[in-house]
Amino acid sequence: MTPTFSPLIDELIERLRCLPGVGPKSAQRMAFHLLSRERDKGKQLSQSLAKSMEDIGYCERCRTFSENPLCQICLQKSRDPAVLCVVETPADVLAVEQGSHFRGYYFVLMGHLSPLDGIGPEDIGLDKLSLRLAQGEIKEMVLATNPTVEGDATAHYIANMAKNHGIRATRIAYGVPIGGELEYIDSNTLAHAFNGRFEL
Amino acid sequence: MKTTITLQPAYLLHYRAYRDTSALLDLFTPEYGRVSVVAKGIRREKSSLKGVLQPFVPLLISCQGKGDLLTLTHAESRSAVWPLAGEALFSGMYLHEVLIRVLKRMAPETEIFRAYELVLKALTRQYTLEKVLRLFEKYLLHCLGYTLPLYQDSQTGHPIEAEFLYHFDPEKGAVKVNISQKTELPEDVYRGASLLALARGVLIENSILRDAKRLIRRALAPHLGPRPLNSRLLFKSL
Repeated sequence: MTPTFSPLIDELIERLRCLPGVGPKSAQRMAFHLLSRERDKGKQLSQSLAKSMEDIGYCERCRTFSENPLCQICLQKSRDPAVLCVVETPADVLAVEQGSHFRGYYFVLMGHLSPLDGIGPEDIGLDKLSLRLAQGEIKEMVLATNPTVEGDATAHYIANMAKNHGIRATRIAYGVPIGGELEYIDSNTLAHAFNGRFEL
Repeated sequence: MKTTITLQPAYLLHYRAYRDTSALLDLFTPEYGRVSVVAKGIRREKSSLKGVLQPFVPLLISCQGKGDLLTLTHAESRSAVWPLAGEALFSGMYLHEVLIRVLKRMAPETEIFRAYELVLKALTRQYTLEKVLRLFEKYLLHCLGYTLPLYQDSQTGHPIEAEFLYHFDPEKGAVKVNISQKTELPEDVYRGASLLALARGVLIENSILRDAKRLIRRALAPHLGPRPLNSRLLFKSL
């Protein structure tokens, strides 16, 4: 990077670039915007960032991000403890919360099994999940990992664990998105949609 | 040197997210062997290639560029995805890990490609997974120039006989040994029956499948490098 401003400003611009989708130009805009117009908000942002990076860890039960030992969802008593939804990321928890009527608890893998990348069962917390299954409270697991090969393999692996504990495991369905047109659906998705057809 | 690959059959072996919306792909093609490409923009929300660029989908790809990393310019599916599920899916991942380790970049591997496609087909049927994998591995060794010398005693030249025991070295071949069949066999000693069954590709009995696995694992090891195969460990813990 060619130094154009003071070293501190250059550093700020460079640091902002760690955010997804932020290139040198947008980083520069963000830095100048904060410096020229939003000093207070900039300070709040820096405090919030510092505090979050320091304090936020993982929920002891579901492994999602949380600054407390248990996350907000795991603390809710009104949920059904017999159903557990397994997802890959904290963002998936929000997606399921907003987009479905699911009212059980979650388990967040923070990834998926990927032998080629060296990610094994323990890296995605399956040792922890196994302990939780052994407690006997869970009766059904909804495997909502992504519809990719790794997601499927992860789901299959967890389904096997469930079977060993005598727990029912279900996989979310594949298919054509609502409002979609068959003509424009990729053949892979369509093939899955046909394999998963049901009787009316 | 500029490389241009046009509408080449391919399979995706490995996918890695790259930058915000792109991905680095390892593809297996018949005429160029293993090809690494950047697929720009395929992780965008609207990308129509997301569902296509998946493992086990028969693809047609075009790419161009200089050096080892090319840019993907076109991809479409040739036919429906091979629907691997459950353990077959893990077998598929295992195959990919093996292929990534043995395939050279930009070197034609038409025969291995054809065999790989047949294996995918077989994995979708109700065949014994182990049998399919062992025969593929044997053929893979053959294509790499290391055909297993399974037919005769390498010292005497006599044909292998089912009821004898043989010490087998993947490079030197089989040598008859005289030890009791009752005790557990040493790591590199096999029953003649197993060698013959593997030579003929008739792997039915479990004991023969176990021997074949032991033998091929030793033969394949030098080609896979020192790191253990993750998918093998995963399969074991399944």
